[in-house]
Amino acid sequence: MRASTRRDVPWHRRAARGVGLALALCLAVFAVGAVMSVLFVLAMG
Amino acid sequence: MILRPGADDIRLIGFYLGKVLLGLGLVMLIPAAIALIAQEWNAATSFVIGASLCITVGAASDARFHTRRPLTWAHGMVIVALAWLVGAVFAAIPMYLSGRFTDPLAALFEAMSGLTTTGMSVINDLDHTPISEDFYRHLLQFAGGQGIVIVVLSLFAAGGARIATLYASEARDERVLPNFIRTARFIFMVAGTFLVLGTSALFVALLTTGFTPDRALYHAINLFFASFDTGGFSVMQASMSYYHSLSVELIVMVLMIAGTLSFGLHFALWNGDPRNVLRHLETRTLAVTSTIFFAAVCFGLLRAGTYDSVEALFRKGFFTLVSAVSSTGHQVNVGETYLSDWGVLAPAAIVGAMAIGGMASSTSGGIKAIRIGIAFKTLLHDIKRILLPESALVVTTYHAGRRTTLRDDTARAATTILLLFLVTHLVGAMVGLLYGEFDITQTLFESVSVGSNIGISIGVVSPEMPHGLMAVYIAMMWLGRLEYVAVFALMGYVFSLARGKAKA
Repeated sequence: MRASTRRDVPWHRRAARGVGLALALCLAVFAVGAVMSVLFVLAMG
Repeated sequence: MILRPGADDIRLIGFYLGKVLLGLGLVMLIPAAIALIAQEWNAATSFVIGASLCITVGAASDARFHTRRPLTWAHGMVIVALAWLVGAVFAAIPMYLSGRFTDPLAALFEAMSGLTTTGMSVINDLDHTPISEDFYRHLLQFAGGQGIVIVVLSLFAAGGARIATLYASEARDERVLPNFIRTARFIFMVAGTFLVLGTSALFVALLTTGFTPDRALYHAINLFFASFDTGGFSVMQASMSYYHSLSVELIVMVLMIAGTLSFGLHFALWNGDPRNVLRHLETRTLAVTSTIFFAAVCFGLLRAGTYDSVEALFRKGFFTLVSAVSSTGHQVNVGETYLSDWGVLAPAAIVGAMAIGGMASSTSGGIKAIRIGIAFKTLLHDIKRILLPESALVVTTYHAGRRTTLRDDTARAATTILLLFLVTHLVGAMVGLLYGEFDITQTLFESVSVGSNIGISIGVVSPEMPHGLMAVYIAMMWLGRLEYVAVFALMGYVFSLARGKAKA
């Protein structure tokens, strides 16, 4: 991580970036959960 | 030869404990103010008494034991262990005065459960608890989740070196920023950002389910504290099933996942470095273990005929798994149904997920993914050493913020704590069996949930539970939150007080 990254970017933009990426990670987790649910229901339902 | 702690050591410990109590007293003033506004006079009296005691004792300790002596590692460990214990005792005072708990031990259980972000509850008639008292329970999770030690000391103390000792003692050993006070403040920045966004999203979601604006705001704030701090206290007895809302469940899952990410990973995300997150040993460990456990949950639930639709599997099974992995403890079912309706395999998978827990340097509990990952890497390392020629140099690395070489002391520390967690879970299960009221599946489930600071209950924990078991669970929550080392340091300190040789 470059020190200049912290100093150049305002905190609210860093926050938006951090929350946005966290949300993307959560959506990816949900997608895996949903896909697994579908596969299991199709296989065993 | 063990040296007996001297008066200066006791003074140093008393000084910092005083600061912790001062901070706790200030925290109590918030629900006191809410009680006054809501005209909940009994609750207001309880909180004013509690806050007065904390501030009086804390200020007296601060004045009486004032010192500029530097902290050593041993001091830091003892202070942290005592801070959680003494903090829980004082935090229980307004709870006991409220009359909502059968006895002081139950109030202490609730306070320890809140501060350790476990979320098990023994409160009577939760659905009719005054809002200030219910808010206090959730606020304790926020305070405990962000680390009561770091909260108070980053605001009150001066000098980074002393804070560093306490920071590492409190089972958070990842330095996010070089300056520990700045690290503590970054943690609060992340928490504050998610507080605003998460509460707003929950507020809107609750409005759409038919809540009035005041109730929606009240539930949203408390749900945020319980979810992001992976505490798991619920506003209503029915927990998440009270809301019957997919949007609320999705937002809560986002907050639980955000809460289980280590603050180092939050820092990487805030700096636009998601690759660091994806390469991290903890991320990969949790991805693998959670996938395996969810597969087991799906297979078990479908085989038992509990649920047969994608929606039910996701909203019940996946939600419960996320709640277990994040160590939050929110429940979408009545506790007993986990064992009566879920068959055998699905609850067993949940127990496994609870035992592992989330990431280190987060508010999550459990053994922690990093230790599981290191244990697995150690196993691979040993297998490679056996298979390769004796003269071969075997080096195993893993990514934890940066590429790190697996060292023997790291492997030993990880497997020692892993073993301690497992032993504690088994001991807790055996103690539960002594009372003859519960079977092994119940006591093991509950013991793992308590010892890993999860909070999903299948009914063993209740206001009517045996006092001996309640005391054991209090100790387990305390041990689990501090991950044993600080508590053992305290025990060693007490032993050395009694048996140690006086310093020259």
